[in-house]
Amino acid sequence: MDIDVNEYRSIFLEETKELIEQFEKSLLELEKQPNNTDAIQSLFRAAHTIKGSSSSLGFDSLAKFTHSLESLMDMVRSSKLSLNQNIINILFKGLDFIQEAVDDIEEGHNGDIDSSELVSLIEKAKTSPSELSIPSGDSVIEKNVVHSLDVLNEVETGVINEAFIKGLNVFVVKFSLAQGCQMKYPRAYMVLKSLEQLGEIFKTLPAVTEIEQEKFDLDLTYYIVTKSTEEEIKNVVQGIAEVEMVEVLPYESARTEQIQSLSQENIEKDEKSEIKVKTDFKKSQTIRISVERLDNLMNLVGELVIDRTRLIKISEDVGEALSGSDSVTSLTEVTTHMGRTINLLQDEILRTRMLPVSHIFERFPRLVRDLSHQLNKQIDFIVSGEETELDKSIIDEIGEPLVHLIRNSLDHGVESPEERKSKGKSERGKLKLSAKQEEGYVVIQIEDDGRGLDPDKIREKAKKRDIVSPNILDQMDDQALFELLFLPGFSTADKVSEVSGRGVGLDVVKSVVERLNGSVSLISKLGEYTRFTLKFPLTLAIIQALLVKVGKEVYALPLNVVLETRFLEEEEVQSIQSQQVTLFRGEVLPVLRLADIFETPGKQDFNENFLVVVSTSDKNVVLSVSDLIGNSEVVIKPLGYIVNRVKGFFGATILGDGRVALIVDTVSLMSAVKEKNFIKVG
Amino acid sequence: MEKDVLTSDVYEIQLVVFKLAKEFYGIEISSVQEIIKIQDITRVPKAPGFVEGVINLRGKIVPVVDLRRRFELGQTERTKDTRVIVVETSGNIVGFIVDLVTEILRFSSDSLEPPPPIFSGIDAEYIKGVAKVDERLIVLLDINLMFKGEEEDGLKMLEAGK
Repeated sequence: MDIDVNEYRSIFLEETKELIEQFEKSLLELEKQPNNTDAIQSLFRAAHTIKGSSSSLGFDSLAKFTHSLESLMDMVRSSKLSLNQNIINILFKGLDFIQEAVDDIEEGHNGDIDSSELVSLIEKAKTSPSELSIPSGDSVIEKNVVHSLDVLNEVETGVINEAFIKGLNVFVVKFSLAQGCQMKYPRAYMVLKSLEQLGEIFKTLPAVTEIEQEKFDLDLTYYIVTKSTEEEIKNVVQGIAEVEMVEVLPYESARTEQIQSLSQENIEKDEKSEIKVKTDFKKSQTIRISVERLDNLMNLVGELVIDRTRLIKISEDVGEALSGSDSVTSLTEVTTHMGRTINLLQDEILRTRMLPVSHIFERFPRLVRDLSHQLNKQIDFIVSGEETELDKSIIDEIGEPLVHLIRNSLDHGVESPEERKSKGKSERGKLKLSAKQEEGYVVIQIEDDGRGLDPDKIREKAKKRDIVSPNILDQMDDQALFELLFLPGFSTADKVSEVSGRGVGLDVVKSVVERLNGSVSLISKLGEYTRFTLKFPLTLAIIQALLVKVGKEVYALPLNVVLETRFLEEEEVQSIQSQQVTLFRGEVLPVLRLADIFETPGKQDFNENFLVVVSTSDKNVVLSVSDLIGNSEVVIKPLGYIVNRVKGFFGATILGDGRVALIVDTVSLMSAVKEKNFIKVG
Repeated sequence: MEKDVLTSDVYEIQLVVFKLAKEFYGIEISSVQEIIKIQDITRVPKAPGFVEGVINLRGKIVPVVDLRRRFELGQTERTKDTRVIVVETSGNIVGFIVDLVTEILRFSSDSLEPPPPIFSGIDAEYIKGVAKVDERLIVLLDINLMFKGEEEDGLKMLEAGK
């Protein structure tokens, strides 16, 4: 190779990762809609590009592999090979292989991984697809995919799968009402009713609501799952007045005729491709900037924000001293205007660091697919709000916690199809992942419609584990009990499973989220749903904080950990075994004097007037402080050399008067207090 | 490279000379960012004793070390002469509190002598050499080594709960 590989390696990696994402997305689409030619094209293009760029950089084994994958897709694209689940699975495996090779390249090797086994699978699939029908357990899914060349949605294909498992027949019943029929809806209804005696109708064309409003010409199609035979069904339908041209087709053979009904979908597709053109155009309007540059910009803006605060204060002081003078008026004007401009600048810079959450959401459909196969559960995964933007540094961190919560929901939340059926729920579980912006925060929710949380079970477990004392447990309401799940070492699943429960619990999720200045909560209803809500600030560099005074010193407490502040009333604080405690929402919490923890000079000479209830990774604690100054937007700055080794602080910020205030990290502070060690090692 | 000061060709050294207790010290001017008057210092709870706290240096948070305490020469009394020498080396910025900054001094590197084996208080390892200028003994500190040593020493002191 004459090209300097290293120089192009990073470009290659960047580009290939994007292509892998595109590949995966298209593949998931294709699995749902095997007739989606756009998806096939996109897959083909991705593989083709990966092949080209890897071969030009001398990653020959990756190039060779993608070539064979590409030729397989070419056969599918040109209809020489019909798409089946086996091919889809091979494509998924191929994708994993490419990912593996790319990881290898990223680590400085050349992606030379043995692909012979996979290649032989691919070659086999190319020559004799029929021989390679999937092992019996999966055959149901194969049927589904092969024949879903129509407009069935996931729920409906689910019904069909189910029917095949149980050995039931699936028929497409087509019929027309007699010309000039006066009672279209009643006739259609009668057919529906009488068919329902024989089996379950899971789909109608047009939809039932349209039939009710007689929004159809004369032709109707019903899909039925039944034990009965073609003949029996035909007889029943023909027995109804004003019904003509009855046709009962097994589901497989019916599909070819339904291609016509796809025309509508084609229109939609055309719209889609138009949008794609637009986004492509938009893409060419962007440039790559290193994150470091953005960080620098962010820091500079942070300093401007501080100056703005100071300037406002100075101009107020000057205004008081020299009120009425013309120059003071202009000073105030300029200060106000500059303040506003700096605000805008800050917003814009913050925005440059924001990425849509789709960056992490993108990998979840695959995860859910794999997990639900593994767990034999049927899941409809509904994602919304992928375009919601969040600071890059937060995006980088929240992937793992979200994966954990999704695993949790699929494993412990959503029940097996049988269990769901016996409860009268739809056999397909729903998992919803959503993101939205709300008042300066980004809210991410994960909700399943599974078995929900059982407060009694949690109470029992807490008792067994001796996590909370029994009399407090009895006073706790459901919500408080749910919060216990976030404590270290608490897990309600009865058995450890392969999917979740690998020792990492919700406590890890909580600590990651809180490290990012976010918060996590959950609500649930037994037998109905469980919903986790994660709340993140838009950015990490600027946070809302509560400024408090300890003696003469000022500290900032991130607002996301502050649960409540209140005036300290002597009688509220009691002493139990030389530990000060107070009652907060029915819970006994320790009261800690910040002046004691911080060894504030002259701490004997002042009193605390306020209590601040804060959350930590463990238990909530109450901090007593001398005074509350108020809420403020503060810019987090690193503490620097040596001082950054001291536990208990996120960093520092500069106050309006130019003084420095430390920003307290309650989580690390409390663990330092507990361990009596304030030093970070390493 | 630094060690070459003592052995190789003669060259000119520029020092910022300051006083700690009764002794004169010098830091090479190339590592000095600026010299400022003492200002509001925010105490950092639980930091090692020689860390006086942090200051706001034009929007940057800079830790400040009391050099007297660092070298166990007692605590610096604040007077109108008290100064903070802000030094930067290998990306770290630290302020050193000193009693008085006396002058900027140029002298030839061949007047630099190796440090005497036993030196009051200061760990000899941070000393690059000693120069005799106008009957005064000036101790030249090796900032790079101090930072390196500080990391380890500082941690040790932190761990010892000092």
